Amino acid sequence: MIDLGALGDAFSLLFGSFQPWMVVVPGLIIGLLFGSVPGLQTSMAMAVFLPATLGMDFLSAMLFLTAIFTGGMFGGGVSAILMNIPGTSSAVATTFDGFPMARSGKPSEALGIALGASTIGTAFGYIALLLLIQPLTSVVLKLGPTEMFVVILWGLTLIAALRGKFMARSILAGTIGLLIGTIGMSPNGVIRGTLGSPFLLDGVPVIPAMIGMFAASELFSIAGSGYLVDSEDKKKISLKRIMAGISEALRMPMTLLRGSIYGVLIGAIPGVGSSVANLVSYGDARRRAGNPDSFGKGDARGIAASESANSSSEGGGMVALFALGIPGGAGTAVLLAAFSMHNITGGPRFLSEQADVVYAVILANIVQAFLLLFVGIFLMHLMSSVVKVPLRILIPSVLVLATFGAFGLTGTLAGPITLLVFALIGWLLRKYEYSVAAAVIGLLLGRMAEGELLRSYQISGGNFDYVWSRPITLGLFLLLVLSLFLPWVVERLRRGLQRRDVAAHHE
Amino acid sequence: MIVQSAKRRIDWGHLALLVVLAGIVVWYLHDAWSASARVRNLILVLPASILSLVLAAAIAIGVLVRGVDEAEATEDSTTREKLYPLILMAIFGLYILTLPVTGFDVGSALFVLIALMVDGERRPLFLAIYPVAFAAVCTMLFRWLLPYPMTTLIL
Repeated sequence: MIDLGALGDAFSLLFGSFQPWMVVVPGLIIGLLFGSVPGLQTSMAMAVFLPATLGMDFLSAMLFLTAIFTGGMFGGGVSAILMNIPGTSSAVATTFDGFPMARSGKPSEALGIALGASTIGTAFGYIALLLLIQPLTSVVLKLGPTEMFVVILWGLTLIAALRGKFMARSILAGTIGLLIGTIGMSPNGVIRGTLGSPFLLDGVPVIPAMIGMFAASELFSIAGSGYLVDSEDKKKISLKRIMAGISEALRMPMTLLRGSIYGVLIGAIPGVGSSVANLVSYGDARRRAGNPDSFGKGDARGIAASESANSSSEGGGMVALFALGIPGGAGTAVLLAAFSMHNITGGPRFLSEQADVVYAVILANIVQAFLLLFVGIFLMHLMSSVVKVPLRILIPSVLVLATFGAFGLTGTLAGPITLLVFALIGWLLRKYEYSVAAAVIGLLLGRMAEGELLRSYQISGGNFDYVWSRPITLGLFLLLVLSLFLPWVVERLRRGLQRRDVAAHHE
Repeated sequence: MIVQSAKRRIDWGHLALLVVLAGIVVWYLHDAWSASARVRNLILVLPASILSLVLAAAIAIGVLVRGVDEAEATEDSTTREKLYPLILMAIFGLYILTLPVTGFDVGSALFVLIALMVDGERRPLFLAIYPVAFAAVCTMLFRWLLPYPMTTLIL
């Protein structure tokens, strides 16, 4: 599967000179900073620094941009944990347990878990890419809308898993989010629910809406209290606590492994990728847990599952880019722009003719994952100081940053207005104990779900028998059903066996 | 032992939220249906709307029948704790809606200043420096990063 000659060349390309490595650490720092500031996007950082790669050779340019990508992926988790703002849509599930854990007085530990999981996830993603790029490419080529719809459905099942106290309220919030996600011009070209506003033709701006529902509404709810973390002792940030978090992540190898596998496989699907991978991984970890009620209240497994999946999805996302020349998301689209700036076209020919460069980029990213660990530890010390800032200063400052970010994402005042409207909706949902997370998941996946469902309908001509001719769809659906019910069946069997043992013991 | 049943009352606020949500769903379904009644247009909107309306009705019945425990409903928080989030939301709303007039620079500085004062910040030097410095840094950073023009009053 691996072209060993090209692999050897890749090693000499990478380690023959120190030059390509000079850009990695600055790239990681830029990514981390952009990812962790609410409203600034990793793809924005990559686009801003894209012209800087003009003077670099192709390998250095790719290392610099992928370093920003890797740093940004983790940075999105930092703001999710410290401010309840998922820096990217792939860090949504990190907020579920990350923010409660930080508020309970363990911000350093939560960041440590995220960093450990991100490092393992990124490394796993690229190792899988190195070993499986050929077979994954052939699978990606066979994916159609029915397969994509099943994967999106998988992400949507988390709505029911996040039920909290009231299942019906969670599903209602999820379906309302789903409907809001379909506002605008439909995949079929029909305009719905825009109230005549041209700003809504492309739909509700998802990220400003997400920041509004998650962060702004949460900030309104905690306004008036002293600090994010009240206890003076717990506010202390120490390297020891961050390291304790990293080692806690490493003590969950199966959660990390499952999250990383979900990340690679789902991340490889263009357009769906990391936004769904973290949700599916989180939902799976929650269902498998013996005590799922601890999820949503600061459970370390929730952070590890989400961060390992979103980080490994980066490697998965590279499959379509390298092998097919298709960008799976905004970040890989900028990488594709870097390809064209260096007169390179992704695709099967690129993969076979420049295998040494592809391997060099992959190998460098595996090393980058471990460099992230050191850069992350160094910067996290600084970043977790957020908990020492009084809320009376932190809340208006974060709201202003979110407003600038929302404007930056849309280029018009539609962004800040969306932020405001969804902050109020989020606050109301929280007040009456509806799951804000479920609404966000619906909003995030609504448009994707409708598009894939419609394409499935068009391809099949409305005939359900079409599904039987799609083995990957059936396989994915089976996996979905198994992931939903297997933990429950295994638990029942285990309890049954335990009861039988106890009965036999009494006899 | 006699267990006294707690007084229960209908949570009208919750009921109003459900009515608004159901109203929005009905309006959206009507709008989508009027735009095109073909399966292709309603493939997700129709089933999701029906599910939303059924759930909203079921929850509303629960709110009416079960009500909320009055003891539970009486939150153990002071008037200031109850009011401050509402005041902050109002200031934030005003900040966003007046951005075209005040611009990102002055608007942001004013919002931070007022929010700090409302939450009890009284150090004059801090109030004079922090809002202005923070708004200026944000404005300049985003102006450098963004490719499109940003409304400002001074910077």
